[in-house]
Amino acid sequence: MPKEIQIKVGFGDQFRDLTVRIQDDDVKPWQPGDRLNLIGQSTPRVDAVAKVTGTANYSYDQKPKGMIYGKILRSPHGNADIVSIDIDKAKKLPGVRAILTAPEIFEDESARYAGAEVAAVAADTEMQAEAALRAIEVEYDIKPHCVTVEDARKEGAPQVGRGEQVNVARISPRQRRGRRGSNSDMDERLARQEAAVGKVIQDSDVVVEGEFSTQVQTHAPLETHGSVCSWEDGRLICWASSQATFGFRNELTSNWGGVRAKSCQILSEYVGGGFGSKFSAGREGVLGALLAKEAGVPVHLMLDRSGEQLSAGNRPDSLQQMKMGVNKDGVIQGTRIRSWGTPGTGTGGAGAHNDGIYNIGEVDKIEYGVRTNTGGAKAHRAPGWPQGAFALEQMMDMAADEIGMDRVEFRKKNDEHPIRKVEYDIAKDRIKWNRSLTRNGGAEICQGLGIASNLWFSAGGGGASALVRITKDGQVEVRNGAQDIGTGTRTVMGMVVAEELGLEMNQVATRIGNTDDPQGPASGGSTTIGTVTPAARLAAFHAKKELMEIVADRKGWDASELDLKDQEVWRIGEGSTGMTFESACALMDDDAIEVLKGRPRRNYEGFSDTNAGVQAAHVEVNQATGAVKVLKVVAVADAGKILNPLTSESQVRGGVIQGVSFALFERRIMDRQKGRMLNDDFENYKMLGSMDCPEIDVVLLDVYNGKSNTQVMGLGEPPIVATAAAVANAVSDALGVRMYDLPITPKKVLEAIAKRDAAKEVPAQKKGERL
Amino acid sequence: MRPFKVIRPTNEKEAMEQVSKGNASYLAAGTDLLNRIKEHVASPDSVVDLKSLPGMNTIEVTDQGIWIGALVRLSAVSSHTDVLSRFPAVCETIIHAATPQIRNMATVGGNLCQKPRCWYLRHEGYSCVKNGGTGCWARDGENEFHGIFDNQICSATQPSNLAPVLVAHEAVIEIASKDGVRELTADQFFIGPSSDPLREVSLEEGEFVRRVMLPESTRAGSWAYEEAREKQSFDWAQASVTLLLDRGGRKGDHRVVLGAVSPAPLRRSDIEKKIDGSDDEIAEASGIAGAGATPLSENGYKIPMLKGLIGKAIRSARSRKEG
Repeated sequence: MPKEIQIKVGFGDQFRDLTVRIQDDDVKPWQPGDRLNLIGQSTPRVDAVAKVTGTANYSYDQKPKGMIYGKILRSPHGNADIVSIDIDKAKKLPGVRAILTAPEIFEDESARYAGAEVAAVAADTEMQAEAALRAIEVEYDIKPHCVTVEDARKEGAPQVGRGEQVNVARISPRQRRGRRGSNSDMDERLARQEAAVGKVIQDSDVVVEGEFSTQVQTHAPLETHGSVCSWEDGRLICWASSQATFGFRNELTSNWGGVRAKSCQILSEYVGGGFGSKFSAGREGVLGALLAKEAGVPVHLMLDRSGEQLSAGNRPDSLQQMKMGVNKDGVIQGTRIRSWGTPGTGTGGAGAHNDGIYNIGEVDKIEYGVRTNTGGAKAHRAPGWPQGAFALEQMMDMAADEIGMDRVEFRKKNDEHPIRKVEYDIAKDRIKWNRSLTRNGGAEICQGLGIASNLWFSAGGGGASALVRITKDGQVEVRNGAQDIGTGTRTVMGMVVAEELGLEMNQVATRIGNTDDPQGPASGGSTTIGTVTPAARLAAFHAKKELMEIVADRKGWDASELDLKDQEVWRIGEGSTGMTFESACALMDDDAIEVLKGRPRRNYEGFSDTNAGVQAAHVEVNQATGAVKVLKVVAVADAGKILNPLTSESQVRGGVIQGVSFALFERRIMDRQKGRMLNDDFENYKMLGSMDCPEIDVVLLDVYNGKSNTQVMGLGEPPIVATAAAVANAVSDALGVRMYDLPITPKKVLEAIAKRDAAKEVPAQKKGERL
Repeated sequence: MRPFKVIRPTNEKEAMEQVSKGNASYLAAGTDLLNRIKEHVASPDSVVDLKSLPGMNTIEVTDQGIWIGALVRLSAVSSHTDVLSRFPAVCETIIHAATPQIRNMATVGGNLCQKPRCWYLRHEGYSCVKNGGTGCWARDGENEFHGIFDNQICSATQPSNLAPVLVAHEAVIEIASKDGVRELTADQFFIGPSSDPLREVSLEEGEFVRRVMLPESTRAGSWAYEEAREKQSFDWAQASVTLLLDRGGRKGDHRVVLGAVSPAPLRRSDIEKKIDGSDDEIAEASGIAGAGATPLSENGYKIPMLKGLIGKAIRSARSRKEG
């Protein structure tokens, strides 16, 4: 039975009382004014030293006894079918223990992109495995390919999919299937929508439009995909680089790929990044498990950098056509959007979220997915959002300029988010929005400012349990089987338990990334912390309750009056009883108290369902060389209650860094001739380095959100949404010319300058003519 | 990586004998060769490690100039007091190269003899004029980072950051060859594809660079090195300009050498002539940056980039002189 409680929700000077119904065994969210020891204090990661000194053992570092090495052979062709694979020569090479072929394992003869898995070998050494791969003879039926959206959309383009699939498909609104209305109904509805919104835009005071494009960005985590697999009496033990330990396990125990482990344990204590690409075991996970089974010894199969770049996922590119009608009072009336993007040969969507964040009036939006012969897209840190925000925020600046309104005021006019309304002013203040700069290409080196917004939805959800164990000798451990992909989940889980038990950080051990422990979520949608920590707090609260009952029973006290604070037993409202935590634990009859608690499935009513966030960028552009330097990014972020400011700030910094890297550097480059990726390495796939990193000014708002007992929201995705958009707006501000394509490379800057200067030279009478 | 044998010769004669036996390569630090072996675009059966040879790891300062051994690390050159004070442009080009970690390993000789960074050349399966086949994939392909001058046969560019400044200083390249030691000027040493598309430097079979001499007679009155690239941390130049003014105290003896836009460093005497101290020398000099260029589909931007760099270089050199 749910119970009703009174709480305060809000932030800053905006608090209100709220009556919420919470799960009957749940604990009340922390309230403003509560005396907290750890929560809200910057707390270093519990594994910081292990990570920076190299003693943290990642999957890549595992070396179980007898381990050998697996490697994958990939197709070099842009599009092909595998006719035959001859492994006879390879089999006879020294050290070779197992060879598998992809068509046999995955029942798929196609190799539809350069990089598709063809075969896998396990051998005693990496060199032997590589030699064996090169000795495998493959006959391909090579087909024509198309590796860019532009090529795939052309009339008569080679067909990427097999069978009936077409290259270009409407993904939103979805084509209807079956009984729920015919496609011609849908087509009619879309035509009506187009006409209606078209009229709204036409009738607006001002119309702005633009075509924007963004590039394919690979996830490029430092630790590549893969695993070390070991079979022990029919049980599969797999050290996996995974952001979904339980999902990984479920794949290896399912029929997919034929691993069908009766029992499987995934271990992912340390994961070197995922960014959305490591939800699935993937073909490499299946091949690793099967090679280990066939070879009868543990197999280390981690992708090399090329394999990672080719096959392990990417953020789809986008082509976004936008047209917006705005009235002179600053209110957006309507927006027409058409967008295209490629999921490669993958099945994931390739949409761009360019209609979120602001109220953009009546919307007529159609999105298309375009198949290409390239590695499949995967969820990539805020899927669809950075690319959508880029186009939307350019449009916002164009519209504001067109009606002569301040760019921030224009945003505020079309934004109802209660938190963001405050964040705009903080960002403006910190970036010195009204400062005077040499803008509009006025000098060889010019500067500009840009602003953009975030939006996310990440209060967490059901699907996590935590086990808290307090032993008679005063040891405390909390366990949850989910992974920490670098976000700090492990540390914050420990903090929550230590806070509840009145202990210090070093008194609570944490165990994560182990599927033999209680269920935890996939690290997706920035939901991990909001899902795991309420379970951990709940389990700690009930473990404490059991301990207090033991103490009360022994001492003849009233358990409901007892609490743990400052490592001692307290009488609520009075102060310490003088009994230490250790002596309380020593009163147990049993060896330990163990409490397993599940997080409530649903979030409670609270202050806001969404994270907001505003970022402002200050850039410098050298018009002689086309170089863009991002001088500073102000990132104002909120994520419900900030449990650990230090790791929260790190998350924001990480988002900004990856966002600047997306804005200026990263892009997959495909050779259209052979259909191969040319920068499948870290030399030509350019990522921001230390010298390219701006000053990052992080401002965190602490919001009593009320959505769960820890009130926290995730910060993995929100801080990357706005960055590239803000940087691009700042570059346009500096140059006096709009940048329509990411990444903003010196080449594009120089081309934009040339175009701008050519336009200035157009005779005056021609300028006024409408095209 | 494909296995190979490492041979450590004790003298130059032995090194040359060993490298002529079958399929062998010289190895210095390996920052380029080992990557090419890993990428399967080089597959020597053996490597002859020059690091075992004596006497190639020193910097010697004489009245005629500074001799830099081929095995001296890049970071040792850029931090050498005499090189810094007498040939500062050399140090400046080095600190723009690669990363501190690579500069601590990579050698001068290796830097001069590295293969172009063309991504077709460095991917297995692209046969072209540079690896014994025919044609150039970049011409009809992805050529944003390729050359805009002398790019008809092969459009890869000379990757060495040191190369242009050595040409500007008329450095002497001392080469160990079968018939003893021979010398080339840097200008003769770096060659374009019309001489031989398979080579970027004029080393004959078995030869290797022993040392490099920076002649005192070419010390610059003032200088500048300007480079454009996408990233500031670890990236290759998209274009560079090395400018030396009034070499050897001779007024008007300038050198302008362009980098990363052609198969060999490109000296531009036409631009040098425009640098005459007149009020419009920057406009005049940068205005002809693109003369003779034949840009490909994606690299026309290198012309305005060069213009900008030439302007920056002249301003920088002039202000250095005055300052």
